[in-house]
Amino acid sequence: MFKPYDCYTFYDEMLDGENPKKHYIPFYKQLQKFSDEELLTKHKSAQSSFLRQGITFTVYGADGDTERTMPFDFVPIIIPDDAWRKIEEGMKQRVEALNMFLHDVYHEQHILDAGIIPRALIESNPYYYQAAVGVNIPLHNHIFLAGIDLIRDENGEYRVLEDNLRNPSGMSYVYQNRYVMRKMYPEFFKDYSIETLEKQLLLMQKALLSHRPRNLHPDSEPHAVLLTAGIYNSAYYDHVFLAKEMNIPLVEGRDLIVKENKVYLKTIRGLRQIDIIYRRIDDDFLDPLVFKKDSLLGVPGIMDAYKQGNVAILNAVGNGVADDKAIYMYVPDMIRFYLNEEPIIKNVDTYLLTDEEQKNWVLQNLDKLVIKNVGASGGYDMLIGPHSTEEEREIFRQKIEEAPYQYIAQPTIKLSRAPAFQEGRFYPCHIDLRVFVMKGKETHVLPGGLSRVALKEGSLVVNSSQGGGGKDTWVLKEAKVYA
Amino acid sequence: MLSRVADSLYWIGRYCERTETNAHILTTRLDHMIELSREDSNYRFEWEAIIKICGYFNDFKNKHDGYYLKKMIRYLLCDNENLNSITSMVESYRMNARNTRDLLPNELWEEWNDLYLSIKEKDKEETSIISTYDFLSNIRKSSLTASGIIDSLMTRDECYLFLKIGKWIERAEKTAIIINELLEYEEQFTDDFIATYSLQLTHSFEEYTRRSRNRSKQKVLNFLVGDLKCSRSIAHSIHKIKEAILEVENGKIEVYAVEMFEALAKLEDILQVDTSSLTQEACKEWVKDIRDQCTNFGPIFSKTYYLTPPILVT
Repeated sequence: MFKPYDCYTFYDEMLDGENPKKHYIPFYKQLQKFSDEELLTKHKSAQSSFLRQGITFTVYGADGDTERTMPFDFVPIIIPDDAWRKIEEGMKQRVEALNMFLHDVYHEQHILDAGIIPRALIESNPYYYQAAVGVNIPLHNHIFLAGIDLIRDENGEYRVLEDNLRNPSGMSYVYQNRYVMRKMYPEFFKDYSIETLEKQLLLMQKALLSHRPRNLHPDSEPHAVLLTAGIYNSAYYDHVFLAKEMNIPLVEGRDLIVKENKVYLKTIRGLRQIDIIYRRIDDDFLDPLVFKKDSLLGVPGIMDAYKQGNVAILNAVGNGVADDKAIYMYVPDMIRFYLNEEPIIKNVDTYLLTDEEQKNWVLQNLDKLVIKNVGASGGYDMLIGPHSTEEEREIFRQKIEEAPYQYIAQPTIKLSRAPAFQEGRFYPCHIDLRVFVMKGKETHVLPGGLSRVALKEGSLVVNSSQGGGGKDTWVLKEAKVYA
Repeated sequence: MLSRVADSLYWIGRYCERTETNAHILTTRLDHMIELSREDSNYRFEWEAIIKICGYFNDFKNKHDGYYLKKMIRYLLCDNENLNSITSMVESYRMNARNTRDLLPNELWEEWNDLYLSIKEKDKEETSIISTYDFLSNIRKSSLTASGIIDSLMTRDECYLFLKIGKWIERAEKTAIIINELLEYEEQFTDDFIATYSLQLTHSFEEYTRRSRNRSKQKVLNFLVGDLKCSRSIAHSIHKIKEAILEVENGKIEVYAVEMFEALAKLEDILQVDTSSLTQEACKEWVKDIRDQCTNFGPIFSKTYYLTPPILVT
């Protein structure tokens, strides 16, 4: 049976001291009705359902690769409607500004001329691609799908931790978590009315198909495909799921060929032209003639077809320049510059280490800060000050001295916590939330998103490659159900 | 349909059929063997024929001396270096199914994934007769379940047809291989044995005995080669292949498909030869010719539809 724990100074999603928050009361009441044994049985069948369906990611290891499931935790993250509306507005605003920024840096560069963002930061950025400069893309939209990672600080205020504008993965988990929750834990939905996810994929399909390349005849139906790196890619299930739901073929680089700047699919009846490619491989692997020469995943000549306006590539090429961790701290300025608005959802405070004064302050306070490599993701090359040893701090001190532009520092945020039930017992775990934003002619935010949870007690790392798990996320429809 | 996808489906069809028939052949072989002593003169020849039918005989000989039951079972069931071992094939078709997941019924994927997860747990050293029977029985049940899912849940589009074509090509070839191999042992095996054993190995013993009491080698041969009603006969498989290909082609014979249709017509002709006038030697040649044509048909089919090579377990 669930017993309240000490929240200390952390913000807890479910508890206010000893008692549940208002919007968690119906859930909390149901929870009291189950014994630990019952919950453990449910937990086991939920986990094996993921394995049976092959909803796995691949972990590469010394003794061969293994397919693992992402641990599922049944205690949902419940978001009241007013809090969600603010997140939704904040995400739309942010993605709008980021898209304007991407268009701007690859065209007129007003924001650099205005001195809002240092020109050097863009021009020396490894993700600023010359190949993307001046390319005229459909709808001027660079961001078809964004995954924005949010956290809550000790006061419960949502803040943006990271933008993912290249190939954010995890959307299939949002659906699978809901599916398993409905199948295995139907009792907990009692007395709740929550936003359904059913219609969202149709909106996503519509957004996808609205990216008509400029040379496509106005009367023609566009042909779209999802380009995957194949079954060995860790996000392969995500690709299968999205292709199936959007009803587009799932293809690999070797299924495509470029002839006279047009992209064709190799079918059993010869070649068929395609117009829109939702690619889930990185820019570097897209076209061996332009980027990595030895890439086997890409399609030679595809960049020419893209520049000529014969094919749309989503997300656009070169988005890395906007979701880099060093650019991150300028996003609030972008919002002010392009939209003339104040950011609805704030950033986490960030210190740039290229500034001598900030760097010295950071070096003196390494034990209190989080240091991140601006180019890394997935929780790699990161120092969490309060959990580090003197030795580890020394390594990062040297790394920062050698390449200050490669790192940023942030205060250790007391990430909010929620109860998790694993191995037969409850304990509080830190969580974050990846919100998915889809953009075509219109912008939609998937209600809820992927709540990721650091299942190792006390850990702040939520990435699935490092022991993180997932939770279902409920957005409540109206206030009265929990009032 | 993508050529790569068509290729995967075609190989799924072939591997599944091969897994099911190999599992059946091994079960039959174990049934026989129980009454036979290792000292028996035919013990060796019978196993030799089985390994030739189910795998790569030279590969086996290079790795193992003699005919130790444990080694043969391990080789045919779960040696991952043997691409025709049961576990290799299950891994292969599960891998190809993963590669085409967006086009298959979810239940089908789950069935194959379940089987894969269960064989991953199999203890490879456990080769007792009882546990081998159990293992083979699970494999065969899963194959039958998968066939049922395919037939009740799959849309009758090109995906379905390619899967089926793979299955029928495999079946035609397997029946031809079985007959051909058994005829190779004319000096060791009696005619009665060859007739009964070929019916058992092809899983058509019941079908045959229900219709005929005369179990002469000649009659059985005609049944397995040319009887259109026999579900395991070569003629039936070829008929099914032709039917499916014509559906893919909307009943027309386009230029790019001429070679394939010619090969089919040649096969149909040779299957209808009257064997009563053939000498024993000519009959053997005839069966060998059929087997070669069956084996050669797969590559002709692949070439016609630009199929790329399959994913094999490494």
